[in-house]
Amino acid sequence: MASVLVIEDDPDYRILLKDALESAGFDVMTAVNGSDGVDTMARGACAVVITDMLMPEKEGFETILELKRLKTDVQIVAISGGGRSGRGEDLLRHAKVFGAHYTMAKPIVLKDLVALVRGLMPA
Amino acid sequence: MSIRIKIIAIVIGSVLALCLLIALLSNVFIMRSYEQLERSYALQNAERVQAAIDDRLRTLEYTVHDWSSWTDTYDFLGGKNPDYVSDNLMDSAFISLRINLIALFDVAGTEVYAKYVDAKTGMEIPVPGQFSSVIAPLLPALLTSRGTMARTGLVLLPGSVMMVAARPVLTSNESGPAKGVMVMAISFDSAELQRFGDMTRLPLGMQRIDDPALPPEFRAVFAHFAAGTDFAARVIDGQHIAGYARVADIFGRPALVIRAQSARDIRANGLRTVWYFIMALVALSAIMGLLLWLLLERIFVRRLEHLCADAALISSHGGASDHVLVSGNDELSRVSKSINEMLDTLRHNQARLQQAQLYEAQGKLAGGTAHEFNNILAIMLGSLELVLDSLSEDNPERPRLEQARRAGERGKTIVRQILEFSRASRQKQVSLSLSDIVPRALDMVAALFTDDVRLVRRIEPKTGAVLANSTQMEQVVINLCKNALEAIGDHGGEVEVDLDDASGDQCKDRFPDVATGPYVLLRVRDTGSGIVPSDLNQIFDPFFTTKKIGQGIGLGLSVVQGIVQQHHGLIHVSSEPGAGTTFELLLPVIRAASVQACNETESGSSRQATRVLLVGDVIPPDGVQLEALLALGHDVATAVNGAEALRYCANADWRHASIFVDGSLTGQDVLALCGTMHILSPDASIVLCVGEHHSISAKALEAAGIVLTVKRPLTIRELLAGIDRSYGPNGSVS
Repeated sequence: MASVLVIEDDPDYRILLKDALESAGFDVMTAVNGSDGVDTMARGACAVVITDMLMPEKEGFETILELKRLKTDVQIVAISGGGRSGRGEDLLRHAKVFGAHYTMAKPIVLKDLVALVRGLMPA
Repeated sequence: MSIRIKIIAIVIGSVLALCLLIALLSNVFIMRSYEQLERSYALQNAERVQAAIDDRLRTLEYTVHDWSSWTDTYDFLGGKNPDYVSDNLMDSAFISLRINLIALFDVAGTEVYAKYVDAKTGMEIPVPGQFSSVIAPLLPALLTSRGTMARTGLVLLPGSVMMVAARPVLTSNESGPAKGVMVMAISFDSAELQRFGDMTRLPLGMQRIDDPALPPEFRAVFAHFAAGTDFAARVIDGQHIAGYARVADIFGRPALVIRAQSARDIRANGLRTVWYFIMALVALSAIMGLLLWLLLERIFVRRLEHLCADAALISSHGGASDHVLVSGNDELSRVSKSINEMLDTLRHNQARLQQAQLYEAQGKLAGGTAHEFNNILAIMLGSLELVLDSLSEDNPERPRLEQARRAGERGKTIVRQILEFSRASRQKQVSLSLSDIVPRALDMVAALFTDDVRLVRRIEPKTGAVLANSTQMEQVVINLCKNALEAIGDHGGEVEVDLDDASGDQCKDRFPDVATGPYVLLRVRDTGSGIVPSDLNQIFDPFFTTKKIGQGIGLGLSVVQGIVQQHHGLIHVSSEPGAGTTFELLLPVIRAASVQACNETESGSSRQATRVLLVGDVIPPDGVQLEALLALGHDVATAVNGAEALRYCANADWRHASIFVDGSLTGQDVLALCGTMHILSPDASIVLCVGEHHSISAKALEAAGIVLTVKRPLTIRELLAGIDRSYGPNGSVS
């Protein structure tokens, strides 16, 4: 089964995403922040990574770039609720430049996310 | 010291000074003339005494004339009248003639007869010695004068002074030759002096000039006798003045000084006069001073005091509409008016500032919490989604859960609106024509127009270029159209959108503050329900809405106003309840030169690539930050120390760089380095990366040109935020 890595610092939302993806049949690994995410990726590569943009320890931009270093063809979905220094849209715009394939602004429709992940999974 | 006290002091001071001056001057001048007067009177007195003496001498001369031109005397001297003496020269004759001495001399000058009678006793006493010898020099001239000559005058003898008259002796017919000289004399003693005094009504004193024991008073007087005059006046003391007459003897030599003393009445009078004058002067001055002060008080001091008190009251706890009192029509009233104008302006500006600060605070609050709400909504909506998916279509719990989901969706919309409202003002603006933007925006809202609402477009194809952000302009059109549609509601109607060039002067009726010049006018008019006049003032306020709960939170128009303000434009609304509402926007048309610059900036800013200089350890050497910057197309250089950094700054290509400086650079005064970099590249933005805490004051940071401080280590997000700082509000490189 292909793996999905969910990197999200909010515990409730992390569990929500995990449940939604597992219900859809994916094997889900979770990480609590960017550092944790990169370490988890290093231990066992995932095909798709869903990452929040504002997290402690290591932020979204750094996480995306480092993930790309570990696995150049990793499919990254960046999600964000916005931050003090800008709207989510601004962060997501830059995320695409760094290698996130898709971006979604919170609150996201879980069904849409599931469909997207399905589409990104290698055949 | 208050103005009132100053004015009182000035009035009193000047009145006093004037008084004093007048008193002094009048004293001097008046007293001088009085003293001159008394002097001249004293001199006159002296002259009077002299005249009295002369008169006495003349009388004596007449007497001598009588007796010397008498044949009896002639014969006596001729030796023929032996009984002459006993017949005529008895004691009683002397007394009745009021003379003391009679003497007769023959042609040889020898004394033939002389007799002296003392006036007091009436008896004969010896003739004063040397009388003859003193008289002798006179005789020859008299003897040869053939009867026409007489000699009168004073004669000084050792013990007395005599008034003397001498004549040649002739016959009763005045024929000669003279047989001798007759001399008569009066003793000029104190009694005689007293008689003179009684006659002139003056207390007199007499002093022989040849007196060895000359009193000092007279010695001083002698100095006063000017050449040619025999009279002098001298003040003796406060009460007495004296006139002096220098009387010559029969030979013409100065013999006596007669002093005529008088009281200084005239001067006393003068003093009194002056005193009364000064009293009157002081009294009048006091009155005038009082009047002057009252006038000044009324015209100036009181009004000034009022103004002062009013201003102090307003400044300490004045209300929003307090003004100072304006009275009169002079500089004071003008100052009052100016103060009121200043107050109004200040209050107006203060109100606007407060409002702007309020908006800013609201915006910050909204922006700060919006993303929290996004996260919360994400959890809530996500959970609801999963639960609803797991329930069957006919599950009775579905409706309630659907309701919850709809509420969450509404929340999502509201948060989006709040974020739009609180958006950072530094949205990049470029030169564009609204004729390109408005149709695009109208297409976006076209879907919202139902069949019974007509959209009328009157877009001028090539309106003037304005400096604007296309997204924000679209937002404006969309928000205004949405409002128009909501105003029309279900009743059907029309929304008309006009876009055309306009001039500031044309629009002064709706935009009184507009400057002259070219503008672009956007008008959105609807035939909806209109806005009641009492709401018109508030429609641009954030969160003001007339909609019911659940239909919108009233940010749309405040967003529009904010955008218009950022574009340096003006917005105006007019409405008629029941008929419709019209919104009008004016945006200034930019000039050709700035169009050029903007286009260049546009191409530059659309690349968004900057030169980035990293000084010291701002990013981990093997981190992804560098990769990120390069991925975005930025030109990155690193400097290990200040010297290297300054070399970059000196390079003209790095004028607009974003510079990140490691605050812990060793062996370097980082603030000074930043300051120098700022001087070399004033357009570069400098970000200081500090450790946990820094204690540098905001002033010091500003002086060194530091626009931002960030805690180490920098994240990519912070790097991008720092680079973003180097772009000004119009998208031009600052």
